[in-house]
Amino acid sequence: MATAAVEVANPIRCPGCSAALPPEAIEATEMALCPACGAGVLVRSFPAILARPAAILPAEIAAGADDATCFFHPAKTAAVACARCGRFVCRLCQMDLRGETLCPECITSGMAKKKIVALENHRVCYDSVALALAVWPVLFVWFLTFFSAAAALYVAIRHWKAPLSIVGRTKMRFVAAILLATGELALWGWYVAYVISLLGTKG
Amino acid sequence: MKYKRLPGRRRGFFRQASLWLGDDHVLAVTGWRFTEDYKRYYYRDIQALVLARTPRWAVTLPWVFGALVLFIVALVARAGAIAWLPEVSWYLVTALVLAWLYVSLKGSVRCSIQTAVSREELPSLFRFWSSRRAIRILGDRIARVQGTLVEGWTAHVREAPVVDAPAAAAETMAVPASDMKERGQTTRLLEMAAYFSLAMGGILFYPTAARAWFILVLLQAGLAAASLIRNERRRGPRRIKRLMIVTMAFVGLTAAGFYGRIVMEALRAVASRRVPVHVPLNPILVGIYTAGCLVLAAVGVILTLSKE
Repeated sequence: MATAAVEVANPIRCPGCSAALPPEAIEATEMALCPACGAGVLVRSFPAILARPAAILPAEIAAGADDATCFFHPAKTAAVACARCGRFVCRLCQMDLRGETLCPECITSGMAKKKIVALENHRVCYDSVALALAVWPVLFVWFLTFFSAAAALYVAIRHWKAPLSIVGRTKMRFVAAILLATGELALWGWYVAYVISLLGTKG
Repeated sequence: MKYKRLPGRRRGFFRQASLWLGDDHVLAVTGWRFTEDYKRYYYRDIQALVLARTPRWAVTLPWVFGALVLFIVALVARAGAIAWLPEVSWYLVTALVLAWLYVSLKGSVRCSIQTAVSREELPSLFRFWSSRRAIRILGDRIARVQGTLVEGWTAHVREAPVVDAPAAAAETMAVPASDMKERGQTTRLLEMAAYFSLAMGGILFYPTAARAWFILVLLQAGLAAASLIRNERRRGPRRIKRLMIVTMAFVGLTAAGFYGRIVMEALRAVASRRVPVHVPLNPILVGIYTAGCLVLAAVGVILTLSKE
């Protein structure tokens, strides 16, 4: 059992009107009414709401020349080593990410180079692009399919190895795009050959 | 990391949103059609999940496609031989629009997730039923990490113990693994209708069976819409899903075989500026289709009736 000795610093608010909800609404197990807007609200609160912000410990000044110091702050005593690059960092610079302690530089480069998946916040879904290029023109502007199918093939092959959605997608869209685009190009080829042969017989 | 999708998903014309359960965080995925943006909320940081009933006029793709398909059926049916079909189609379009109005007015919500530093709306949770299920599943997962607040914690927040330890909470709040696998009646009916229509598909080419087959197709469309609304797509055993995929591929390929010849004839007619001639169905393909339908239908019925 933990003991809470703080007031709730961050009140729970109604998503509809942003008014702070009363305790009766917060503790209700079924729908309760928001006193401000009258909407039915359902709240599920967790112990984190009672947690106090962790105190940030100040970095200590290095006592002597033999003390290990922070790579970024040479005057401060090192507290830990970065799990990736091994640099010593002080308490100010240490950053915990999913059980690993990293230095600011590794965090920055990990974000920039997309090497740390847990920090990735944006991806382009090339498989969806390829599939859209293969499918949409067939439905709406079929006469453009010659160009769009070629573009779909290019995107699918060029980005075959690009990371897909973070939530685990297969390469099915790429495969479907390649098959469809190849089919469209084959149809165009057949049609052109047919028209040429027809013109040849008439000529 | 493996993610498991939570109920509730928004699929608009351009924008999309969904929520995924990870090992130690919930991932909110939003984005345009070809990009995805991610936000992670760690279970240990989440303070509250709040849902408020409020009208939402979200036009999502399943509704649009449903209405569009019925609209096209109604238009095409006007020129067709089945006299009652246009009227029924218009009724269905009206029913769909009324259902959308009702769901938008009475069955919609706004959901927010609160941490110590942020309070953000979850765009994927906008319908009441799916949001409530998502909050239940997500809440149970958070309770396993943080524990639960005891009853009356708001009154005793200054002096009393208000938190149950996570370990104790895990026992009482654990999500039964079978909960997500359970199949609803709608899904079961949808599967049965699909297999039955496959069996009917074998005799589709005999005119007396056409009307019954058509009714079944309409029934399937309705059940599929109901299934989508109830968000039961991720339920059910994997083998049934695989069979459904095989079924769709088979029907698609044979349909391409049937209509491919008609399209080719039409293209030839356009190129030579003449009226396209009637192309009879290929008897070999009809045989393959009939046999395939019957085999798939039998496998489907056996899988559906067999114990999981």
